[in-house]
Amino acid sequence: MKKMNLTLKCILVMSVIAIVSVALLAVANTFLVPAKSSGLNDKVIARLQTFCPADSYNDLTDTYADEIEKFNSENGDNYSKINGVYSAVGGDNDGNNIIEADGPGFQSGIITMLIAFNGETISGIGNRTYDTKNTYWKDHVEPNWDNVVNYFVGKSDLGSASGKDLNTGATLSSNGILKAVRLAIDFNKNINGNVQKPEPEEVTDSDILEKLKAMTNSETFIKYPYKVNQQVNCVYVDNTGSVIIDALGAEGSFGGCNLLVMVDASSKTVLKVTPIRMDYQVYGEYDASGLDDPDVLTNHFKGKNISDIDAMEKYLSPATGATESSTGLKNCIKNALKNIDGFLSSEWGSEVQTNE
Amino acid sequence: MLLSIVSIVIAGLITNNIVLVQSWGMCPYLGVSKKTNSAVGMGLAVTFVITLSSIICWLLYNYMLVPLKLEYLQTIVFILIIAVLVQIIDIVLKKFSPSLYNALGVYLALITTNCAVLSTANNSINSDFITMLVTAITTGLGFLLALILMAGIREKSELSKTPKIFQGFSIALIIAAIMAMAFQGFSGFNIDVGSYKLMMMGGALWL
Amino acid sequence: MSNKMLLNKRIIKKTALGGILENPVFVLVLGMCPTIKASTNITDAFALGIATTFVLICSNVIISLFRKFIPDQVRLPAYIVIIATFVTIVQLFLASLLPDLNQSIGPIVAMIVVNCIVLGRAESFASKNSVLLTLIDCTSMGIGFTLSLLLMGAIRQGLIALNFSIFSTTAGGFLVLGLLMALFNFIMMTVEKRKMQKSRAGLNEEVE
Repeated sequence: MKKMNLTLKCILVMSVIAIVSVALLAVANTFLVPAKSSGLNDKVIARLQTFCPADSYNDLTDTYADEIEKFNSENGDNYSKINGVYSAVGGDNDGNNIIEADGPGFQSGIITMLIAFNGETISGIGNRTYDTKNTYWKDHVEPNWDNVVNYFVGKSDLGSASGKDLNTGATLSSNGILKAVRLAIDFNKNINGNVQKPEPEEVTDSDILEKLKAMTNSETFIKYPYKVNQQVNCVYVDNTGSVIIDALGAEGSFGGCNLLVMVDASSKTVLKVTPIRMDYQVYGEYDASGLDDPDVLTNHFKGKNISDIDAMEKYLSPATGATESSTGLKNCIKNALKNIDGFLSSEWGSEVQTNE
Repeated sequence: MLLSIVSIVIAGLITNNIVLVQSWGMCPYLGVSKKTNSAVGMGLAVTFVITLSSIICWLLYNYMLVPLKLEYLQTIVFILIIAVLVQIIDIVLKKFSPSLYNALGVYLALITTNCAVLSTANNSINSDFITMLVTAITTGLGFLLALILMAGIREKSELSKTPKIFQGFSIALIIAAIMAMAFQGFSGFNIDVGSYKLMMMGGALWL
Repeated sequence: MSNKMLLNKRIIKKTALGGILENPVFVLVLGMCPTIKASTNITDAFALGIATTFVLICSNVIISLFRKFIPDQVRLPAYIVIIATFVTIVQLFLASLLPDLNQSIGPIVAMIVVNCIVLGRAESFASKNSVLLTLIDCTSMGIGFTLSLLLMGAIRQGLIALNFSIFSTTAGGFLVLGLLMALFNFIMMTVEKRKMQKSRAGLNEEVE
């Protein structure tokens, strides 16, 4: 009897100690968030010198603090945001901006990139840090860094690029880099004074125009800058009142996508789908590449509303086992359907309805 | 790959020796290095613990702590693993090799508080599996090497006359200092002339 | 009644001076690793000393508080978890609020959990004594440790500034510590000798 008491007591005491300790640490951990290295220090300056040489650099992060906060709340999240702005002083790059932006990395890590701009064109790119758990970076991105640099330098828009285009073999990290660079490009436009209050305008981008024409047989489209953070980029309407939503979707690491979804406003069902960008990865048998096709997607989603989509199977053929990609696509379509009412009741939506 | 393994081995054994260059593991080092036999036994035991604990800690960290976002429990989990490992070795040695068990005595339990073990475990999570494995094994062997060398010198110095104030740990530390200089010197470290002169004077005085 | 009070005062005095008479670094020869690693300059030395003292006091007071509730069999794992908890708190604090300091002493702070001083005092003192005595003992030990670190830190920083670069390496650390130990021994021996001479003189007086 006494022996059992002792063993029980031991277990009880150890459990109490363990629980109290873990609880205490969990509380401490939530309050004591590790400070991220930020701003200009010697390491960063040395890095800047390698791709944007200058006599010195100014830290403009405080000057643009308000813009950064606004931009981040509209476009960023915990893993992707703008961190800082620096400007090069003296030398060939005098006056150029360098934007520091975060993108999501491997295993919930963060990739911090430094992107140098000449006006609105990327003139150089480097990384500030990467998560040290990230052997993928060391093994894949770093050896192929030239590919990465060559890809970005000279571009002022990334269009529908996705991680595979960087040719590093580390698609996830590449997607993270892309996200950071996209944010940097947009933010750079902001502070270069190029963003006024957005107005609806006629679509001129040939890629998008081609896709839109294939969906409705119309010739002209108006782009309405109706934006819902991480759900809707903008809305296109043709001269017959057909509404095509430029929607975003995400799920895990492989489900990011950007689709054009033509929606029937009254029944809130899908009419047609055309992909702009899909962040899937071909990984073993998880091959979602077959879904990157307007006919395949339209077949899957035509006539469905939100509850129909929720009732769809876990992965969409021809993909087998690419659950995240399939879920990401479904999320994207749902985002379009969710926001059709919001668009129609917005200041621009009323314009559209009177057209019909 | 082979070249990086070779460089890890050389670093672990000499140029980045855990005791003489990184100065982890001093307490047991000074304690056990008096006799060569116990030094060898201790060194092998420590190598075993470092290797096994690094592997287990690496696996637990990457496949349990990180996915569950419990990285802040790293210290507690790692030291408990080491303590449990040492306890297991204690029981196993007692049963299968009582002579070694007795030779190590209290220092077996002290492997738990050996900074070298926890330090290697903490660094293991920064590498991939193979690098971690090679680093762990060579770190342990580096410890063994430093122990054997120290034991050899101390056994001899016991026979010569040492001034009373230097007896015990003081002289051990000075010997360690000279060895550390040698080990570090292999990595091309530049000791300035002034320090050299000081060392020569001190050495001459002692002799 | 007054005898007991006298005894208590003596014990308190002895415990309070433990940091010097039983200096963890120079006498007990515990906590070697951080002494070598963190003594290259005064800032590191001071920071590590304070961190260690914090863990020492917090963990040992708790252990002393609950010493009657912790069964002997689970003594060590219990102490280890308690100590490790406080070490983690210090680590989180450093990483969050003092990131620059964290760069230099981060890995060393992580080793406080295996610092022989903390576990050693828990085993030998906190598990057997009242909370008040433990508090005094730990404060004294902690201060003693910090002062020893500061001493080494000052010496090494001074020597490095005089361009003896060897003292920024481990070898230099060993050397300084070894010499300081010899010095400490010398002082202790001299004090002992004087004490013996005094008592012998006292004895002689009595005889005469």
